[in-house]
Amino acid sequence: MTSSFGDISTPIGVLPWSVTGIVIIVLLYVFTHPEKIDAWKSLLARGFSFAGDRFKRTAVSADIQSHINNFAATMNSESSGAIPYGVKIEWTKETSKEAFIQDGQVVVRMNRFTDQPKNMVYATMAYMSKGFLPHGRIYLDPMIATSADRIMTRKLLASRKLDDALQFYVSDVLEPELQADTVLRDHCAIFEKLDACGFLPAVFAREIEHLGLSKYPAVPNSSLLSETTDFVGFMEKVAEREHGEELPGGTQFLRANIKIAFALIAKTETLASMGMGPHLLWITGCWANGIDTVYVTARGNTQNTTARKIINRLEATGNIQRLAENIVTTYDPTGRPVECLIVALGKK
Amino acid sequence: MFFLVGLPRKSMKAILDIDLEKVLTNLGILESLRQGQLTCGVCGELVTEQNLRCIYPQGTEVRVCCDRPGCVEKAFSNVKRK
Repeated sequence: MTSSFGDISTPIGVLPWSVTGIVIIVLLYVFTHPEKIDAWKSLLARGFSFAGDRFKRTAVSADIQSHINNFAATMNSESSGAIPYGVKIEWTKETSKEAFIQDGQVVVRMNRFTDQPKNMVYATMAYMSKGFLPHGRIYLDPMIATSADRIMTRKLLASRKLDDALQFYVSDVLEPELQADTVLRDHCAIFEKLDACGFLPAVFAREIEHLGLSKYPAVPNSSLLSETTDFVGFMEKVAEREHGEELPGGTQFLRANIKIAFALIAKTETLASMGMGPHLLWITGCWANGIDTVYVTARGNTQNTTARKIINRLEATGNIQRLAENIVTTYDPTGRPVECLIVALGKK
Repeated sequence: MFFLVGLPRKSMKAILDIDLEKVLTNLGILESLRQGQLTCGVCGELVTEQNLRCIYPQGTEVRVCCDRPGCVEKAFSNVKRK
């Protein structure tokens, strides 16, 4: 009896190393990429959707989760925590009125997978209104928050290459809204500029969510709302600035709550004649002025290399630390892609 | 560390069209919807089975909202999560 157990258990209990390795890799992948697993789940469920309603629901929900959660993970990393949650779709199949009232949640209607572009748009809009800047949004003028949501929704649909959903969103949602509301249109145009140079997640979202985390749940007062509105205006001016152009009023925003500066790395010719010295002096001086975070931004290979040298020199002093780093692809006036480096520096 | 295991997820309630009739019956609003008696709780537009986009509680009432872009967002903003 003992020997027969031994005969059976040996080949099953001790798997070859190659099989064990594959199992570990798969488990590790599942553990570290839950949002990618959703894409596979949706694909499989679509294949089996003839087999029951459960598969129809999974096809829709897993696809939405996959796109939103992938985007949220990337943006949360770029913005140092401004999109801290993903989404999980929970299907309501039957509920009593009492349970529905007690639950106290909005239930979004979705259609079968054939109508997935619309499902995706409504789910994304609903998600952004809660999931983007969850602590900071109450300190923004509602129109500014809505405009940021609109551009982030478009960014999600475009970055996930959801062409049908993007087309529906732009033609049926965004364009009619922008035509009807000029204030929304102007604010969306600002966020479009901020996004084009990488400031939307890396600077705007980061600063507003950090502000929210330090203030929440304090009631937003008019001076705070006016500060965040001015901050958006300030960032617009920085984003509009031509390369090498002096900015009237400077690149420091020093107010009661938001205290940041942009250190814009100079043109190659200026760097050649002046060296890194003026940059080092200016950045060091920011902290003396009361600035909390300096965003070193550079566009193009030469400037990026110089920016890294400057940052390394500052870090070597032991007083300054790198808080966040992003590389964003921007486009020059001729449409050529240019890499833009944005590094947030803080005092230790 | 949490980047390694994905972001924490918050739930979003949804209903698929195949379950709509049963749920609306249970909530006691299917007949009103079919008789054209329901309006959007946000913008006031008439809500039908075609343009119904979300259902939400307000006090002890069940409200619906249409598929206008801002209405779903406003419904989410107005309803506090429990």
